[in-house]
Amino acid sequence: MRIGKGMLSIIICVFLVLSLSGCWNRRELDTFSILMGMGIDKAEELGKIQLTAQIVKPGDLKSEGGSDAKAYFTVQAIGDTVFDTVRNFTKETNRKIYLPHSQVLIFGRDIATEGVQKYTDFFVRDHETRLRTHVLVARGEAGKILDVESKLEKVPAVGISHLLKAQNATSEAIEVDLKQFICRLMSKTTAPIAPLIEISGEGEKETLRIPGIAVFKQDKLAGELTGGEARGLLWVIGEIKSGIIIIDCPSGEDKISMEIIRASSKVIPKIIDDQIYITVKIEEEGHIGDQECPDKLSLPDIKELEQKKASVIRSEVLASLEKAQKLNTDIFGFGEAVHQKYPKQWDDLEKRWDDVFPEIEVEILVDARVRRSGTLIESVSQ
Amino acid sequence: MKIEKGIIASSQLTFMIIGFIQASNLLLSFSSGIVSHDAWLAILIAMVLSIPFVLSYAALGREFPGKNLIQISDIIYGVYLGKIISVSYVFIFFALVCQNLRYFSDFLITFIFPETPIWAILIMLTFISAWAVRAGIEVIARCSFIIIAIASTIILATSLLLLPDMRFRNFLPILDVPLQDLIHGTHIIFSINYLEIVVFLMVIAFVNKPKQIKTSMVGGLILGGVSVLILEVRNTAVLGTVSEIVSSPSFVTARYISVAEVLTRMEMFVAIMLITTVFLKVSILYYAVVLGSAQIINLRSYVPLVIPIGISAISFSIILAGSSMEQIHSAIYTWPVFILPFQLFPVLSLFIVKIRKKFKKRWANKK
Amino acid sequence: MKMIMLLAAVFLIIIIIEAPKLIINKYWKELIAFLSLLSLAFALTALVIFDVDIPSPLEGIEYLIDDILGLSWDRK
Repeated sequence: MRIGKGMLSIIICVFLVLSLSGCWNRRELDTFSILMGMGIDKAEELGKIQLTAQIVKPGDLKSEGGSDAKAYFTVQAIGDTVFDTVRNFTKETNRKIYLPHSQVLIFGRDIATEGVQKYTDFFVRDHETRLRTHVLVARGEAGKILDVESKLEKVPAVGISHLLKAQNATSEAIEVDLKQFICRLMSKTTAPIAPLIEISGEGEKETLRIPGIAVFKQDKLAGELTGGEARGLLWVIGEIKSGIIIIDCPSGEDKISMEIIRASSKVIPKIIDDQIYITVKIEEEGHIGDQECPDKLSLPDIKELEQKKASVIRSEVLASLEKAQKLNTDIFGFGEAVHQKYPKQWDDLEKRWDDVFPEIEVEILVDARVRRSGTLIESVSQ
Repeated sequence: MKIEKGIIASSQLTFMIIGFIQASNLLLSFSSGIVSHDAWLAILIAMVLSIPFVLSYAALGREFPGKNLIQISDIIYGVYLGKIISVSYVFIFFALVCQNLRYFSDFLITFIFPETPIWAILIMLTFISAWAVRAGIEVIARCSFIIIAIASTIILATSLLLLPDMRFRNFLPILDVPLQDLIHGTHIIFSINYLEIVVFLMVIAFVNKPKQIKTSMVGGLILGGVSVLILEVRNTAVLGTVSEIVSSPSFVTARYISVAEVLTRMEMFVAIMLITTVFLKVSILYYAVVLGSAQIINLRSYVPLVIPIGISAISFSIILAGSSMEQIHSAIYTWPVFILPFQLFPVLSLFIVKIRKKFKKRWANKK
Repeated sequence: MKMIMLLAAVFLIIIIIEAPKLIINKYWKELIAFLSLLSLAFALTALVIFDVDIPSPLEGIEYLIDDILGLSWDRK
């Protein structure tokens, strides 16, 4: 009995020692390179793809100011498939790429027009990647985007991810992560969307800009929404966070800027005699943020402002709707809304949704409110 | 002479069943591809359907206080037929040990240790389970409380953290899948997630208060079922259609957590939850195999059988399937059909016992 | 060969741990059960180590359910 116990405890000790070393494909921080952003482009060689990886240099990341050394570097590799190319990076970097910290995934323009579906599988299937990675579409080559230094962040990919967050202030572009992108990609009717990114300025003044939203048809880039069109989409899908709406003063001369504080939306589909009607209800609340005209606003004026604001919102939604119907891309998820309300009719509708969508009549009801007037009661006047 | 001297409290039985069912949330992906966003409905229906079965298991246990499945079969069906039934049950439990070991190791390899050979993980897990089994049912039962406490905390915490990312529109329209698929999905969840607790027929004999077996078993089933339901609702609400294609929705969902970009990478907590609950599940099944085979050949102690059966289980798990896809295919299409008779059989036994009792009474009255 | 030696060593250690208790307590029946199950385990493990192609039991179940009984859900 005693021998057995002694032996058992020795075996247990051996096993415990084994567990101390961790798992054997453990990797120390100094043996792998941390990927921060990845760009996918078409390679010059036919049928191949070119990946650009932005890799962080942990040592230079730490140094406070002073040193001019970049905290990152970019490498490019060419291969047949995404995974193949990711592994090909090791031909140029001495460390294996580590994916979990990847912030952005940028599709180059040519690859986006050709179709992105076959390049997304890896990023969901691999065990290291995360679904939080932002998806973007470059107006040009994705690789060049990753070469642009960020003015404020040490690593440009982090800069891009913060830049996307900052778009909440105008709501003219949207943050899309891999999960949202894939969900839309897997839907038969809803069209995927992703923010656009481009380089503005030249030489030293090169910076990155988010000009709008890229719209896909199935998995192929179909068009772009910019400015008001983009915000029109966000009004419908309820993703408006903030933004400025400019309307004319009641006197008609100058402008008033209204800040959007909160907004919500509802998409209500209706089928009458095989005809689909969609009602979009938008509720918005905002403040007066900037008034150029010196008028004192009376209460009826405020009501007028609300109506003007509502008509601006309506026109934005209409603009995006027109564009979407022209491109025949259901970016609003009207198809899903019909599916959710009329599951029985959906089987038939789904097949001919491409014919149905451009003809859909949409009613837009906007309820816009002005709640407060900032820190002023009256305008600054002479 | 009694082979197992341990006694467990009825509350411990509840905890064991909760943990047993929580471990099977790893297996949710079998059905989620079939019933898509209606998985919660399938889980609910399967849970309600399981209740009468669990009640009849408990009733069968009550009919023969202090006797487990092996002894009950001997009494009801006589020595020979009883032995055949017992042996087939032991084989089924052994197969379940291997299935769970294999699927769990595949999960760990897929998500955490991609280059580790499977036997390394199998040996670790089996070693710990073997240790627990050698220590007896009391130890497993006491572990269960801690494991449930950890697992439930993790389920609740991750669900709360994901609340901002949940889109409850993902569940609409309800009942979107064809009826046949719904039945198929319900069957998978019924047979694989819930009614594997037929193995508790080997355990309930050790409960100190036989009167409470019924309530604690049904309570465990419902609490465990609700926690699986919470996880499923969380997964579908967060991931939407993506939850239908990933092999472990719970893990991927936890990976999606990002609260203010500070609280991220919580997936290891889910892995901890899965490791502990799978340990509990495997230990209980393993214990049933060891105890059952010792009883069939009338041994005085089951301890010497623990290690040989554990090593066989490791080897068998490796032989079981060439790839994880093979195992998943079998789990979706054939395994639930194969195992169903074994889950329904105790109900038949209960009927036989009840009818026999009635006849005996009548006979006695006539005399 | 190296692997089989290692395996034999592991099994020997297991016997050294388990068997003395059984012999001291005169648990002969248990000893026989232990040894026979252990040799079964040894055979299985050796098969796995030598990569002998053993048909998967799941395939057998699939054959039983699908081809003989025709009860598989895989009918589309």
